Amino acid sequence: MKKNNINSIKDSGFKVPKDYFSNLEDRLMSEIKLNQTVKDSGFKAPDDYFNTLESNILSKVSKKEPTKVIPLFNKKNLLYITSIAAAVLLLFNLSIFEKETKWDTLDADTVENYILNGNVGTYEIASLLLEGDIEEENFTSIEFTDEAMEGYFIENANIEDLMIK
Amino acid sequence: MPLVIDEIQLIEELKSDTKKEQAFRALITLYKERLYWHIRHIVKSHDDTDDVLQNTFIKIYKNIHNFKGDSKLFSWIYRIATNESITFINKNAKRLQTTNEEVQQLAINNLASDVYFEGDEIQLKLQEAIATLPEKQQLVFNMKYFEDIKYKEMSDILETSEGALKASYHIAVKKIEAYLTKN
Repeated sequence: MKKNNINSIKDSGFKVPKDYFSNLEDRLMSEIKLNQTVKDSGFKAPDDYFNTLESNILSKVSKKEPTKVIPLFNKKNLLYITSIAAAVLLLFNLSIFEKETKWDTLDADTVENYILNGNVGTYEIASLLLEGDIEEENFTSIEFTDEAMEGYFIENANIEDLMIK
Repeated sequence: MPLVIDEIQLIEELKSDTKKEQAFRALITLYKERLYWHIRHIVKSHDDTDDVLQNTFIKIYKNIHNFKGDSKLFSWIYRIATNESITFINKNAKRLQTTNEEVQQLAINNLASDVYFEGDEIQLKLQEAIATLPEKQQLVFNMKYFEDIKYKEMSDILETSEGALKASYHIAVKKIEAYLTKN
């Protein structure tokens, strides 16, 4: 059976390109003829050219390119720096970055206006008072000097009020 | 200094900071003659070849970190050298406001008086014949005939199929032979 199998394969499967044999002589002959006429191109390199080439090229690549010195305060940089500085200054002067208001810095008029304009109710005021502020003695032990009382009456009281009393 | 032959190691060293220069020197030694002749066959004069060769190596030095290893180092280097040579001719053509063909013709005309061309009349004729070919055929012919580069490697360098390269080469040989017989 094996033998039959081999016999049945007549073709090895190898192929040659089209026209390979028809122009093989031609191709070989032109190549041979050319080779016979001339094989060497005739170019030559100067003596020692190849011996010095490495150093030649290396000196070019390793030559540190001179570092360009850029002055820090040239016109262009100065313009940059000053404009940045101006922008930063502007930023801090804008109201959005204004410092939080401190109690000490508030003047009496501002607080008065604030309260008068109705922004503050009694509860708000009460919440600001400490326990010590609202002890009973604070209110009962207030004593007025006679002079103060007298001055008060002279300035503020009128005769009708006194008569009612 | 021992010559580093292992390509992978060489590439690694070329990309390193500490061994770069030493590896680069080894790379130049390894490729200088092959690349010189490759470029010389394209640009013809020694001085121009020297320029292009140095540019090629400098480009390799500066771009080695871009080498990804998709192709062999050999092919990559040859591709750079080929491109540099062609760019050189193009630039010359632009400078002289003429065509690439005329630039090449000019280079051939100068060969007779070139101290670094020792060819006899027939070798000069051969150069003339090569100059009549289209650029790609010239490359393929030079690489095969003078530099003995294998089609497989050439295929990597020029990014062309082996079949197309073989066909180009045979056409080139035929044309050159015809030129030589006629002249």
